[in-house]
Order: sequence, then C-alpha cells, then structure tokens
Amino acid sequence: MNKWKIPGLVILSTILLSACSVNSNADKLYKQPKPLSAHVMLPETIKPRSIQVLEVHVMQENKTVDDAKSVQFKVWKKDAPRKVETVKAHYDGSMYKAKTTFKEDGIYYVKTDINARGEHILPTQQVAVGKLSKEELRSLQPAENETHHHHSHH
Amino acid sequence: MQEKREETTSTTKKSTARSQGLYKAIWRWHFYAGLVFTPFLLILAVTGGMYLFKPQVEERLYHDLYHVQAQSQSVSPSAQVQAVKEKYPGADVLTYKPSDRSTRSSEVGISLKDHTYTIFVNPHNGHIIGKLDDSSRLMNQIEEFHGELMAGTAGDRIVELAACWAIVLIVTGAFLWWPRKKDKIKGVLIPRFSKGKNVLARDLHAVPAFWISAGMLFLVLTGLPWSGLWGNAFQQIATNAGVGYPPSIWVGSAPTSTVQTKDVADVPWGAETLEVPSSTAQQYTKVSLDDIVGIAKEQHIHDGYTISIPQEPQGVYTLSVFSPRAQDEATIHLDQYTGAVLADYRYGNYGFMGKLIALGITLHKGTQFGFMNQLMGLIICIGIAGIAISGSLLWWKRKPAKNIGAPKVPEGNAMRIVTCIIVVLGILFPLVGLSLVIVWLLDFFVIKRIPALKRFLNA
Repeated sequence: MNKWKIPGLVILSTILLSACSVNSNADKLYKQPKPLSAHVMLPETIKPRSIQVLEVHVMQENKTVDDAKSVQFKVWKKDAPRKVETVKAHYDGSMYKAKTTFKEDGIYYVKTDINARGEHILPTQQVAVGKLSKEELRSLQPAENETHHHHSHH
Repeated sequence: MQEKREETTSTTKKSTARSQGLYKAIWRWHFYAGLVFTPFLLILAVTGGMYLFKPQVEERLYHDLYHVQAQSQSVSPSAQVQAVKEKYPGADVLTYKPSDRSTRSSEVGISLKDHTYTIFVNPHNGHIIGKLDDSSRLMNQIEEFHGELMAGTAGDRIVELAACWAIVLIVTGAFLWWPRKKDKIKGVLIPRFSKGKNVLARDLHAVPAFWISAGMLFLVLTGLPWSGLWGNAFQQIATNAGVGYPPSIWVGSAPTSTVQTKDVADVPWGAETLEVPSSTAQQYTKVSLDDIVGIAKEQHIHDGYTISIPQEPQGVYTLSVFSPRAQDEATIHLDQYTGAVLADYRYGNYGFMGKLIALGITLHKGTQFGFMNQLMGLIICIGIAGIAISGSLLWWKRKPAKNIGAPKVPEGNAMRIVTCIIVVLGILFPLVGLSLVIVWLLDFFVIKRIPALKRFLNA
C-alpha cells in the first residue's frame, strides 16, 4: 500500500489544486436573462430650432420588439439637468419614432427610456447640437477628466 | 469440549488485542493532531465567538455614523456621491449603499491611496457625517484573524488545515469516546466525579466533546466552503456542475457591458466654435446612479443592498445584498450603458449546493435566526475552547517527564486501518493529505534516524 500512497496523493492533490477555473459558459447552467437591447438612431447632424426625428430599434434575443409598454425620449441640456423634456415614441411598423426640437447650440443628453416585457432599459447618449464652444468640445474628450486618477482593478 | 473452550478464549484474546491496538493507533493520531492544532482551534473559537456579535458591536461602535435625524426631503444618490467626490477629490468611488430607512445614513465606498474607506452621508441633506478606514474596523480585523490569522494567504491555509484536522480530531475522538460496555451513561454522557482525578480529567474532555462535536463539525463544514484552497476548488466544481452559486457570486466572472462608445473625432482646437457632426460626438454614457437606484426598486431587491460602480469600460453595475437570511440574497448585474439586467441571481436561482452553502454561511455567522442563532454559535465556540483547553490539560497532567507522552505505535494491522481512514480524509481534503505527506517524509528522513527524537515522540 505504501508504494502508491504517496505518489497517488501527490497526483490527486495536484489535479484538485489545478482544476481551478470556472468555465466561461457556466452561466448557461443558471437562470438566463432576456435583456433588451436598443439601437438608438439620432440624426447625423442636429441643428437647433428645427424638428428632429429620434428613432430606436428595440430588440430582445435578436428579435424586434413591437409590443413595448412605453418608449420615451428624455432630452436635457448638459448644463440644465433639471429641465428634462419627455417625448413619447410610437411604433411605425419597424421602429419607435418621436419628434423633438433642440432649442439651443450645445451638448445635450438623450435618454431613451424603454419598458417592454417586464424589462426596463435606459441607454443615455451625449449629443452635440449646432455649434460647440471650445470648452464643450474639450468636455467631449472622455480622457480629459475621467482617467487621470484611474487605477486598473482586476 | 476443553479444546473448544480454549479456542474461544484465544479468539477473544486476539480480538481484544486487536481492538486495543486499534484504540492505541487512533489515540496516537488524536494525540498528535490535538497537540498541533489546539492553539489554532482555540484562536478560531475565540475570534469566531466575538465575530458572531458583529451587528450589535458595530451598532454601538458606529452609532453616530449610522444614524441620522428622520426628515421628509432627501437628496439624490448622485448628489450624495458628488458631495463625497468634492470632499475627496482624488478618490475613486467604488460603491454606494442607499439608506434603507429614514433614520439611517447612506454609505459611499471609496478608494484613496490604496486604502478603502466608507463615507457616511446624510441622505436628507447630502452632508458628510464621517469616514471609516475599512481595514481599521475592529470587526474586519477580527474577521481577518478568524479567516487568515492576519497572515494573508499563508494564514488562510493554516486556518483551512486546522479546520480539516478538526474533522480528523472529531472522527478519532468519537471513536475513543465510543462506549465499550453497553448501557453505560457515566463517562459517556455525564462525567464521573467520584472515580479519581485522572478519570474526571478524561471525562471533562471526552463528555463535553461529545455534546459539542455535532456543532463543531457543523461550523467546520459550513466554514470550509469559504476557505482559499479547498473552498475555492469546491466552489468551482459546484459552479461548473450547475449545482453551486451562479458565476460571479463566489467564483467566476460577471457578465460584461457592451461598449458602444465611439471615438471622438479629432477636432481642430484653433476654432472658437465648431459644428460637430453629432454622430462623432455621440457617446453612450454611464446610466446615472439615480436611474440604477430606480431599477433596484423595480427589481424588488431586498433592503440593505449595495451598488458596485463599474470602474472599466466593460464593467457592470452590480446590485448585491447578503442579508441576514440567506433566502433574501441577491446579485444583479446591469449593463452600465443601458441598465439592462444581464444576470439576476437570487437565492432561488442557486443550485442546491449553492443554497446549502449560502444557508451554511448565514448559520455559521449567526444571522439566519437572529439572536438564538448567535447564542447557539457562542455556546459552540465556548465549547470548542473548553475542549481544546481540557484536552491540553489532560495531556499535561499525564505527560511523563522524559518524553512527549504519545501513545506507543501498536503492532499489527491496527495502524494500517487507521492510516487508511486518514488517507481517505487526506484525499477529500488535499491540505490534510499534503500535511500527511510532509509528516511521513519528516518521519522517514528525520525522526526514524535520530534515536533521541524517536524516543521523545514515542515513534
């Protein structure tokens, strides 16, 4: 018995100690989410004081969602976060669409608030409207104010 | 007739000799295991007994940080975090824990110069109440002592080893305690007080040990899944098999956010104002903390949850709550750019082993059933400390002057049977196995070759 005891133990513990990683698809064995995804389409260039069409294509599991409980665009200017304008979007056979007008030049936020099939997503984008000042342009550079104190965590 | 009777006596003798050999062999293992691991078990019992009362102790210690005056108005979570950022400009904000009732402060977790702090904020006006260095919190230090003897990975392995050997001690101890005569209660279930000091010393170790052993085994088995080596491997096997915790709760990684940011086009800095095509400036931004709190409400996550804030472009917002009752636990990962639920793991979504581990943890920590649970834990801790002390006394009283007083190695097969049992335990718990290999090597190369040492250890 002594012959195989020690090598056996060493091999077994090596196997046990090295079999240490979680399969990358282990999550498939547990509850699967059905997240919504949204492709928000904003005009290529946005001029102030003119009617703009905001569109969003909503999907779940790669299929188009056409029965959303509510789809809204919430729009506010970066320097006036309390003045939020909400517009309802309507389904036109392929996408949810809404019309709105941006009042001034500057940086705006567009939050697309989607409720469908018990899921809720609210992708938020930054958009430039009309002409931007130097400061506003600089604030669009994400590296400027975000990363100077950033450590990498892992 | 005569012959037959002689035969019977000789078999009885042989079997008594065999069982005595077995007894000695097991005693020897129990003896050495006890000698080596008693100090660690004592530490675990004492620190564990203290840590059980973490909720009450922290409530007292941090009363002024935890409590605020109830008011009707409140400040948004992002404004609370902004107040912290303004006070600690160099800090990374890692977590936000909303206030769960009107008299409770909210907590913002930050990292600042390689330290993590908890900043307590009054949710009604956004004022910062105070700051705690997480590593200096008394209960965190006790936990570190309990889990790794304040010695990092090495300490973690020692604690794990002690826990595994505690199982060996319980199994061998149960054998030594096992009543040899039927219908005997004294010396088995109640100590014998009138049979002299030696018998009493033995009974005061063995009898309470029997009463406490089930609880001790329970604490060891529920504690092992969090250990660094055995626990980690066990968790990984369970998660991979679909029966454990879903990935990311203990082992494995969280899902990732789909990065939708576009690079911002180079812009000529000379111009004072510029028309920028909005597609080049369009960027998805992080969903705001206020919206995340809104989603948490919609998801009906249990009160007392913490939001972990993504630190990387692919990171996720994670809502997590490890509540006193295992059934209320939840871990929810949200895409940081859309708020979409990428994974929603509640207690009900754990595999059966994951549920057992989670329940084991809350029972081990004494939170599952409130004060009664804490009391039970405390009784077991006191019991373990008592057994460790009475075991040491038992050895000390009987120890001969010239050697360590270990039972002799018995002859025959007895040692083999015990060795087999221990080897099985060594395979189930690789650290036990590893320590056995080291003991054998030490025995073979050192102890067997030095007569004085051999005599001292009774090898």
